[in-house]
Amino acid sequence: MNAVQLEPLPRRRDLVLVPAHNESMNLPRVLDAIKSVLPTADLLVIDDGSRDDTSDVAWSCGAVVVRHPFNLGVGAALQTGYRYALEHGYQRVVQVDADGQHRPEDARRILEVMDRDAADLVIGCRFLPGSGPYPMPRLRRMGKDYQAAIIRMLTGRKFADPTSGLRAMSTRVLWLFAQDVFPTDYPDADVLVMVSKTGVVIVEEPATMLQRKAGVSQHDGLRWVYYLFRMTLSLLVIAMGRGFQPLPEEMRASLPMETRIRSTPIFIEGRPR
Amino acid sequence: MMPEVINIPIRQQITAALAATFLLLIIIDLVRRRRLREEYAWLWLCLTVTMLAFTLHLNWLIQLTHMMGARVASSGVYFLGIFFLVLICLHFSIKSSQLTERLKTLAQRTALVEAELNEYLQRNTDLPGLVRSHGRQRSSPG
Repeated sequence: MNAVQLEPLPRRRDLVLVPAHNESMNLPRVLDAIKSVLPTADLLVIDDGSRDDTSDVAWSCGAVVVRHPFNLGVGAALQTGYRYALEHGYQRVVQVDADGQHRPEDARRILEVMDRDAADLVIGCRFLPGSGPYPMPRLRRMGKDYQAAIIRMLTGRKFADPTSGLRAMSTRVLWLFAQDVFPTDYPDADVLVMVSKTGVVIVEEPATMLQRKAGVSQHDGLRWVYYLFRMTLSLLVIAMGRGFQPLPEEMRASLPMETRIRSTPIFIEGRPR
Repeated sequence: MMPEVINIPIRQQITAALAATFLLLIIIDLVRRRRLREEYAWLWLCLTVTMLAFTLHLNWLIQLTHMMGARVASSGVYFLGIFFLVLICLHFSIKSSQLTERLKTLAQRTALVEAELNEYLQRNTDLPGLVRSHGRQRSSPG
């Protein structure tokens, strides 16, 4: 009896990952901009159980669409994308928000930084010298500073923008983020603390972010309070030992001895420059 | 100080015993008909057996109340009852967390498999977006 002959999966290089929830208004412009700036990358939209025609819009823009049967949260949507990327052999993934606040030029640049610095995770930061202005409401800025302070306490490292959703990552980081401990809602400070402990190289790079053009942000009203509470609890259990499974030996091989953070951020407290 | 021996009216005792027996039979029947899984049933069985025991041996309840530092047997009953309910709520929270986690994984896998199938159909047939056209989704423009 002959086994079925399967073609080996081609090694693919770049994937742009766009999690989207009810974003059909913004998607065409965002996807077109990404395609013009990163023409060789594949485009993946995770439709997180939208009630509008997000998946149809993404589909007609030429993206591969993975559609959750119901809403799972932005973290779960990203994780579906990471699992897709792992299964399809992508080497570099950059995640870009569907609401148009991230510029594709920055996405391309953080990919370049990833190669230049041999980094595993590059975070596009709004609050570094070289970042564009980003007016942030006081409450949200306090939330960001609070997270940055706790991360610093737990890891001894400064992150200028722990809540940034613009991130580029390598297969190693994909392998970590595909694990079940990855949060289903906002993967911010908790993920950075957990990933810092695995010894991968994290780099922060200035980026310019724009205010959203249409639709509703996920951070409105009382959810913000719940978010901070949830984040504090996550950080507490991480401090008590929760974390990613360590990388397997063959993936660790080329890792440096300890996590390095290049382009060490100068804290400017989220002031628009 | 020894607890006083209290006699409750025999009717109360019969009512309590009947209630406990009724609950016990219902639970066993639910398990038998596979409407209630054994893993959930054991907590309820513990409850009914305890109820029955306390009804038949009122002195146990009185001694337990005394041990807990309460004076009246009814306080003991309330305390134990509420404590048990809290435990059972916690049990359900744990179970629902577990189910949420599994549901998330399942939904992700379904979505990925659907995308895979979609890609395959698109490559090998002339039916773009066949999988996506079910449910409330329109068929794709192509």
